[in-house]
Amino acid sequence: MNTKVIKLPDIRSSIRDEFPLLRKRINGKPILYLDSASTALKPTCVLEAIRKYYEQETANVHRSTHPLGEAVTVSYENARNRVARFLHARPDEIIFVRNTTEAINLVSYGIGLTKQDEILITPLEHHSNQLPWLSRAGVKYVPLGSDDLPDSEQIPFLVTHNTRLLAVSLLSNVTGIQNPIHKWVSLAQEKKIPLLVDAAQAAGHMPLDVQRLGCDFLAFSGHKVCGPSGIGVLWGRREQLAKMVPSLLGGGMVHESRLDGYQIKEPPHCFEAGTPNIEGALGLAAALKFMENIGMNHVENHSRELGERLYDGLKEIPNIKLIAQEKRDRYGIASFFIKIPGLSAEALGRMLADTHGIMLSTGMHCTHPYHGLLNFPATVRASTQVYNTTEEVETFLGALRGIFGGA
Amino acid sequence: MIETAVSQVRETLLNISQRDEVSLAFGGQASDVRLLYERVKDCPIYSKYPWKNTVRPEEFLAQLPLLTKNDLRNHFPNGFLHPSENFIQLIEQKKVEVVRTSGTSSDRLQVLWDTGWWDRHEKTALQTNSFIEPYMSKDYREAVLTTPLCSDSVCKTGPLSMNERIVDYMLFLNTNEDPTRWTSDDLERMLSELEQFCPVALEADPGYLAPLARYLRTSQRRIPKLQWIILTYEFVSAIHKKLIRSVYQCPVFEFYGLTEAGVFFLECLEGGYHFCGQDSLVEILRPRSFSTLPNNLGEVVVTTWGNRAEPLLRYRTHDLVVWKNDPCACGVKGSTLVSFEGRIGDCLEFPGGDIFTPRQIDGALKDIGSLAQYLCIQGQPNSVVVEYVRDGQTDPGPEIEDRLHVLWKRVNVTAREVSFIAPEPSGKYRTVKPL
Repeated sequence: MNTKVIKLPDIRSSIRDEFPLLRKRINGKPILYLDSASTALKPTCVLEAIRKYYEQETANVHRSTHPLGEAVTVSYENARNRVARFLHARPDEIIFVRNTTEAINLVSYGIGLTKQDEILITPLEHHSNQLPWLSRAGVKYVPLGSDDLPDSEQIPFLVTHNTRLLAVSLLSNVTGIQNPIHKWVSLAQEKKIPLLVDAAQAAGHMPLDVQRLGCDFLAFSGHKVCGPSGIGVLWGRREQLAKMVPSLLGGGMVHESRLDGYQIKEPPHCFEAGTPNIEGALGLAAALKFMENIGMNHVENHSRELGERLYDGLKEIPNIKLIAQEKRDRYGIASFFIKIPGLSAEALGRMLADTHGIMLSTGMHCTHPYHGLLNFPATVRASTQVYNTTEEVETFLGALRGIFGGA
Repeated sequence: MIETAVSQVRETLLNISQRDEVSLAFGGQASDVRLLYERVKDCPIYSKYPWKNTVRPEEFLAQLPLLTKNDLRNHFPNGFLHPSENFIQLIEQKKVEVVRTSGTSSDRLQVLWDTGWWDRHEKTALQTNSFIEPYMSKDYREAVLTTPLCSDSVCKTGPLSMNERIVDYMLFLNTNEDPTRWTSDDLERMLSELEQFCPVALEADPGYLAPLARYLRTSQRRIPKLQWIILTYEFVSAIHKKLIRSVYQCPVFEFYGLTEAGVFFLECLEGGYHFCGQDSLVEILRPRSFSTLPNNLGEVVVTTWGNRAEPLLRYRTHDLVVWKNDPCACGVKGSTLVSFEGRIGDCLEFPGGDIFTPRQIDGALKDIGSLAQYLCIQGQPNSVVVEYVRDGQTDPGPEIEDRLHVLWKRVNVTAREVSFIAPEPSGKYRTVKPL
């Protein structure tokens, strides 16, 4: 497993070498992967961690008294510790789930909402941070300002005595812009309302410190921080988790089960019923270690540099409209709308893939309400990660200029 | 060594080059050569071609390299436009439209059409069939059954209503992915819509129409009236064609074309396949050194200039056909295509160099009455598993093995019954998966 610290000057070539998929060619062309907001590529150390589990450590966790079971239980809990360290949290506040979607659903179910309760979110939220609330409670949305972004000045006015929770994404999967989280935290603390932070995108682009953030819940997905699919994390403050009801019941989460009742364990284990995604947790731990070896501050700087280049390039290309025109707090994600009827986002996406080997997303990126408010049927999204280079961003912009014109 | 021998013949087919023999040509007149040259000489993709003046179109073309899918991908969209033309302007002015071909993601292409070209072109082609021609009035309506009609966005926003699936004179019937996911509600809905829309004809993927035909055969339902059925989009198994003919009791015609190039051959009432293209020329190419396949078999290579947005010179289709030089019983003189043999990549090749086209394999199995569908999977050079779906009480497995033993002789054949055969990710069905 790769444990060396990768210095910033070497960041590009040595990091790219760690991602086997980047050596693949499609129709003879190298891959230019700009779809990391959908899922990030996986470094060799993650593949090795998963392979090692299957080849050398296959056993169940928390259930076996033989050496294999004990060893893998240690590895699994070490993975939990690794996540806790990544978030500057306590290990007993880390719950392994499938993904951010499951994490948020777990909170939505666990805090016992009624239709009279209100949840305050923004219209930019991914469906996974909208539907779990909409299905169980009333939802209020921070209105968009003239810049097509949530007007954070309006947040305090939307809180009522029915507001049970605030939920916001730290980094938008559409705009690549960081939400003004400090305003949400201030309000949450002032009104003593819990705050959930959707960090699905943010976890792969910036350091996270739940103590400094000041939120009560935080969720992210392994596959967006270069870890495997099928593993995610819900962090919750101990006092919040203690009040939550588990949504899944079964083996591994009870101290005792009798014919007429049961006694569940304490968090986090009461929220982890059934055999977990062991290999996923081990792979996630390897991914976080990989990212930490690069240095999350370096990761953030790299993301912001690429985000700035995307912004500067896209806003000069004719016939497209960048979503959220202002330049602020941008990370390596950007989406744009095509102003030419007759050329769809999907057609452009396929053109870029087929002719240039550029892989990106087209559509509404699971943000139908936001696209509806902007009156965009679909957009094109480019999203970067640690393995992308400024040259790749320029190649992408050059491909767009070849189609749309512009200097 | 075995793998080398196995791949040799297919490699020879795949590596067919401009110097290989043009066995046959359809379409194209001497005057078209000048037209073609004027149209394409300034296209960036063709500007460096070795143009020489000749009289006969086939000689003119024979000097030119062959075009592949990768060429189309690499030069899309500006490679085919005149340097004075701008792709974005043409889109804004609605003079061209971007269209996607079907196929898997590795085969799929985006192509440019002159706006309205395909419609005009296809209708003109259909009118070359003397049975169809009288029906092609301005009231002509057609139903289409293939993979679902999608909105142009990756996000699926739910199934479309019948009205939303009517585009000009066409109703697109399917809303639910592929037939393995169809319920009886889906089948009933499609049949009701056929009755409501009253199309003159149905254009269908045979893999999608066959389950509908089977449902009609077993239900007591009235069969929607159609003047004819067109089978297209993929290789037509004789098993499906026989079933569809018997259920719908109307003429069934195979129609050969490509989204990127146009339509070229249409079946007549006598079962011959006649050239129906316009502004195009089709060559049938086979390698000079080839000996293990019949002399009248070759690959379709098309040249088209009717679609000004993307004229194609000697575009390889990778589709194999068989022809004859005798006149057709319908009265058309000259050469006629006898069959579509399938794709080069779907040919089965065994140690020793014996090669079998999907059509030859289909021919061996077509008369097995209780066989609904099959897929031959070559797991080892000398071993094939045939997955099959039965139609009726009798198990066709033993007969499948017997017939293929006769065809392939020394190959291990195992027939395995399955409850369904799924299409490829593209939505199309295959009958053969070579090693």
